[in-house]
Amino acid sequence: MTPFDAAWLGASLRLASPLLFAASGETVAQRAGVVNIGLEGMMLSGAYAGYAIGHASGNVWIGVLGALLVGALVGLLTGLVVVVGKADQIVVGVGLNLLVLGATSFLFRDSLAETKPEVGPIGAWRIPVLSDIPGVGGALFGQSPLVYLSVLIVPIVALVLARTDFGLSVRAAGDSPGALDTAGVDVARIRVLATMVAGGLAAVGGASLSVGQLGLFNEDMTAGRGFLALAAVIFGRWRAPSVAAACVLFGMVDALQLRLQATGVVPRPVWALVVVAVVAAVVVVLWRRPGAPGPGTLVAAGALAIGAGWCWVAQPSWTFPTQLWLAFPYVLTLVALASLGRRDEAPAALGEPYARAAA
Amino acid sequence: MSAPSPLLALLDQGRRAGGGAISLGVSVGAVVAAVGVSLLLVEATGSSSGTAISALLDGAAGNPAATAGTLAKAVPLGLAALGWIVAWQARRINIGLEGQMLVGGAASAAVGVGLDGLPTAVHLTLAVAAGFVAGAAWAGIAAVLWVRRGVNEIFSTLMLNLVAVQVVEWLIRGPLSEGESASFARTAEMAPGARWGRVVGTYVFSWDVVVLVAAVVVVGVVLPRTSVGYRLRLVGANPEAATFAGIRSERTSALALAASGGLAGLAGSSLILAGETYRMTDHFAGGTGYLAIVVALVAANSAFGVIPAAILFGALRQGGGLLEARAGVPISIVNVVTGLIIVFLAATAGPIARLQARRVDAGSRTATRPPPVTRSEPEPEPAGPLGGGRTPEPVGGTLP
Repeated sequence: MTPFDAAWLGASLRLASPLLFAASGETVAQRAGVVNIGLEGMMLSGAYAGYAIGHASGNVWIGVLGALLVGALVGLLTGLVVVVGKADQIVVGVGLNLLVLGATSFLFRDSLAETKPEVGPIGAWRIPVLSDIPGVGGALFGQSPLVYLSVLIVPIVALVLARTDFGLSVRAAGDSPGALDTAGVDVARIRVLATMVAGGLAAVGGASLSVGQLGLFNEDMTAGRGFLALAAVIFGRWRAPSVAAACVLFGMVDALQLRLQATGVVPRPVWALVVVAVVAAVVVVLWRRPGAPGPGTLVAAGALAIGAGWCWVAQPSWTFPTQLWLAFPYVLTLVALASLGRRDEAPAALGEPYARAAA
Repeated sequence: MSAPSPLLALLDQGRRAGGGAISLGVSVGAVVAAVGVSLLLVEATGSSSGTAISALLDGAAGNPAATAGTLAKAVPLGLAALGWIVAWQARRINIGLEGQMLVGGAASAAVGVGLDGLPTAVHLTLAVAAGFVAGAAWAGIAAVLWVRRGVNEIFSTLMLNLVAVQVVEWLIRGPLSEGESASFARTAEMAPGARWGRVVGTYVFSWDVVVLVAAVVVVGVVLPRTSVGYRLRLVGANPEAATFAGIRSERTSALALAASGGLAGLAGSSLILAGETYRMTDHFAGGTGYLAIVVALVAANSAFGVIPAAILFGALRQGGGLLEARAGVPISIVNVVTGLIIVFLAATAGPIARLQARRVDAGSRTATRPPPVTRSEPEPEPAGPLGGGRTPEPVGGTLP
């Protein structure tokens, strides 16, 4: 019996989808130099806006569009405060999370909490030919259109960052704002725009939870997914494709965790996967940057692979608490941060307000 | 303190330029503005702001139980806020207070339910110390990652928060669970020896307030007068200059982070050992670690300011309960007020700092011209807890 079936793959994609929206947006903001801890709040604002606007207009898609606009507006305000006002980005982010949590709960209780009308959920669109692929087709290509959109966002963000003038300005704003300024581009404008992109996309991610998947809104319904997306941005080394891969990985772990809650004992394929994952990670890291991981990291990775290999063969009847799986993405991100250390690829001016040096 | 150095003179100038009065004005202004905006929201949704205010005040201080609740909530808030301040003195940003509180509280709870039959003096001391050590160790992970691997402490402490949530979830359903079944998501009651006594009757306000007072004295009075505190502020003001003056700035900052975590751990321990039920439950920190950041901001990072600021936010949290019952205003408005205060304070911090810098400049030109900064003698590193063999490296490259 394997937990890695088509249904698991479909669930992984569905769980990764809100993260893909939020993390793609956050990648843009961070590449522009803005650490947006308020991502969680931005997602939550979108979850509520999508629900409330969708209900008021009677159209789910208007709700999603409304979420995009509300999120961009939240991003605009955040951007003005941290970029133009040069406020501490971290502190403002913490404040934004509290503010949105309070405001959405307040508005919800004041309006729709009594009746809890259903808005959506957006039904699945079966993609004609692809969903007929035997095995995985139905699970992967029979999803909500927002899931497809979240997958489409990734190459769009990657291309915009890599190939457009705006993308170049965003990257310069994060790596070398002084040079960008010298080139005659308004650093503040680029950073505010990037924060708006983060807000808008995160809000659509939030709306994909409320009206996309559930058809309802709950207080604090994003439940830390904004932080998970933040972890994905860091784990993905600030590059859109890697960030997306991190989101999918986190989605897969979440789906697996949900599956294992039912079965209890960790099945053998999971152990096999751990071996493959660890070996692959080491190979990829070594291939891309020879000598990057220290000897300590290599020994630890080796021990982990051998241990998991033993478990694969012997299959001990261990169960892991749910919490271990839920903590996994964060531990993984910490390990990634630690193993790359000072060689990390964070934008050079990440978190620093830009002030033109006095001549 | 020995001979005043030019660096310290620079540090103190900001304070002389009327910093205290300005910060007080800004804090009061931000709180008033946030409450004002929130009241507009209340009015807009059809409730009466007058009723809301009177319900909030009654809920926070209308009777002895309410007042005790306000004060009891202020204690962990104040302790965690002191944690923020200690880290901030070295310009480290510890957004991991929440996680350090959770881990510190869990350690206190483990000692509180794990041991029995000890005299109160011993048991309580052990439980509180466990909270401090665990909080410091949890922050210490971030400190070590930063010193050894250059990992930005903002990201690491944030990740550690999220891990800590799961650790506590696991503990209260697993090893520390009250019952056999996992549905008991709480610990047993603390042993009688591991509880802070109530100050008056059975009202929830407890003697853990002495820990807060002691911590305020240590951070506000003792620390500024010791060489550790001096190094802390110097590293915070200018890590490169501090390194040049012979201070191991990375180690000093790491120590600040760990101490900060220790204070947060004490806050967590208060929530358990002086809590309403004397148990550890789900989400027992409930955002206190984030709220503590607001407390520290409102206190303008002054240790003494923490006490009134913590009482203010304790009152908001305590009084919020009655808001919903009596005025029909959802308690979430408390989070709105809090969030607005942070945003207002953060948004005005930059312009005000620039204003103050201008005043200092103007002042120094006329009256207290600082001595010309020549090569200052590197201070001999005392063989204290910071002594050790690492060559100091200038910091700041990877950090905001």
